Amino acid sequence: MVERIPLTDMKVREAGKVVEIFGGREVQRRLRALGVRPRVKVTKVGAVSSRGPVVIQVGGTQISLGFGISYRIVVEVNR
Amino acid sequence: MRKILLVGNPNVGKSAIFSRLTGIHVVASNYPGTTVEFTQGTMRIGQETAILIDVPGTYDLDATLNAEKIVADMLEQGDMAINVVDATNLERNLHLTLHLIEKNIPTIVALNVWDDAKHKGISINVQKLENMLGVPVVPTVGVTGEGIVDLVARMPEAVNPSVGERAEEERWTEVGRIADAVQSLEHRHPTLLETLGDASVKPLTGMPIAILVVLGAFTIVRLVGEGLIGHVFEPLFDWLWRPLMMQLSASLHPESFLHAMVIGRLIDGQIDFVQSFGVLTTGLFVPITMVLPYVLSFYAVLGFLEDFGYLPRLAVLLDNTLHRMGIHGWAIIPTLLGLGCNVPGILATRILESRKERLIAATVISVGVPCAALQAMILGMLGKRGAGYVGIVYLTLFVVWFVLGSILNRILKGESPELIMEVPPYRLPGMIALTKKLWMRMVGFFKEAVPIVLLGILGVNFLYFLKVFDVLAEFTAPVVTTLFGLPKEAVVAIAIGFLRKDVAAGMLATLDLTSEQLVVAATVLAMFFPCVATFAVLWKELGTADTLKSIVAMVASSLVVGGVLNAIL
Repeated sequence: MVERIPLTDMKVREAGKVVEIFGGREVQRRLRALGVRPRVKVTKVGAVSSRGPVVIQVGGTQISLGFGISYRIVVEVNR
Repeated sequence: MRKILLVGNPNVGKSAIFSRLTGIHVVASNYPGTTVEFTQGTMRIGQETAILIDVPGTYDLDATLNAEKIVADMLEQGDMAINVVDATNLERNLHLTLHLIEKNIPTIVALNVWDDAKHKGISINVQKLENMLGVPVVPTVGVTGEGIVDLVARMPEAVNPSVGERAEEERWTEVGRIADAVQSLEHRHPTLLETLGDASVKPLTGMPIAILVVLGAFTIVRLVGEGLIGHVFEPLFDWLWRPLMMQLSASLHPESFLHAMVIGRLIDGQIDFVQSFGVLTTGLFVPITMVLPYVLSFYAVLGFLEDFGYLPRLAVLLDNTLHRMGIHGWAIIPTLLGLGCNVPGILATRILESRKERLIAATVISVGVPCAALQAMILGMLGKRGAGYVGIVYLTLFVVWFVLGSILNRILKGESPELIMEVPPYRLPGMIALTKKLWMRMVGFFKEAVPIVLLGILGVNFLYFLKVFDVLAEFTAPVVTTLFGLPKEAVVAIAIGFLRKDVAAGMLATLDLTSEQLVVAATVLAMFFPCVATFAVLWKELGTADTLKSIVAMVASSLVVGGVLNAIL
């Protein structure tokens, strides 16, 4: 079943597809520059705690994102 | 002379290629943002000499971050660009390549980290990439120098295919088209380093690894530092230098001005390298024997952690904690650099986005992060009195660092953006690269520290001779004696802290303080006011208004902390 969840709710090692990014223009632009855009596949690599930053893999890069930003990135996962 | 720009995403190895092309060594590390100031040098292309500029890494040519603004300005002035592309990360890097080509500057692409790409099962058809981009593409490995000769040979071919400006979405579509056509990925199992990298940011394994790494790092720095002092530097100094100085002392009149300047005062007829305070005795002993070994071991350990790629992971783990101070996790990197010397630490705060964050980070570094030179002196002087005393100083500074940050976060206006940073892969550092970086940092220490220490001690002796300090001591006596519980002469040391903190700590050694007094004095010395080098960079980076705020925070917090420590100890 396809579910839409915030990035923060993904499990470690789970993969998903970015659907939508909420947030200011500046944050959106910086995310895009790092390759985090709608329709891109992301894999969650790690998370420090339930309300901490998240590390994701996009293409060949790992990116760390603060909790607030990760919460506003909506991904589609198959569960 | 033509200006050639070295442009690329952060952490793709621009600095290593810069060193290869110019022969100038610049500090390169395995995390984005090592180069916040541009570096330039000259290189030869055939008969021509050109200026090569190592531009700070950027993801984007539409400038909003500090570093990106610098890049946009520099692009205007460049005659040609070498675009360094990370072959393991083609898509994201090509986005910048396409944007760069759109800016109408003749470009050549260095397809770097070529060796890593092969190991990761990524193969790229270089010829096809070259055709699709319309500019020369040369595979390189900056760290080993592979492909650099080809790169230079093909630089005259750099062209601009004049494609015109694209919209961002269009550019990403084009990136996708090119990447699909030239790149093929082969599936393979994660390497040990990759598994370790992932474990470093997972909930259960991340923190234990962090504690292990940090404790391990401090232990190694201390053991190596102490070992070098006790077994190498001190014995050498005693064996080679002491007899010379004793002879010199004997040939001078003990009460003379010259003896006071050069040798300083004799203690029981002997030179005491810590307390005599002459230019050629304490002036050389402090920087070379007490400070240098710690600086050496600190930078050796830091260099390894930097090149291995651990620091960005520590940033992730500490993100939540640092958010309470109004800065995000990345600020731990400037903080750790500050433990070596506050100057590069404060420069590295440029990677933080907002003015508020930079003010907070720079202030807490200046107040709560003692540089290696001061730490060496604190360890050398207080260590003998018991590890507990050293512990009190460190604990106090740590608490101040955190509490002051939290307070500033509450009272300062402005936003604190969240962490958005690339986490580089772990890489096994090369011995040659590590040694070169360590060597550069040591040369830097020698050039900056030793002359100022010598001048400082000369100045101090001269002012003592003129009795200037007596006036200062009388004037500040109420604060120093009542609030801090120190002899009034201690103010001189704190004042000298503006020049160099290690010299100032050395002056404390001459005062015959109790262990508790030494704790108070060392803590106040660390916090009170930055040394002149730190002050200059603080001013340059923050501007006058924010520097003033920062100074007010420092002076106020050191008065409070000094008073409290005096009351409870």
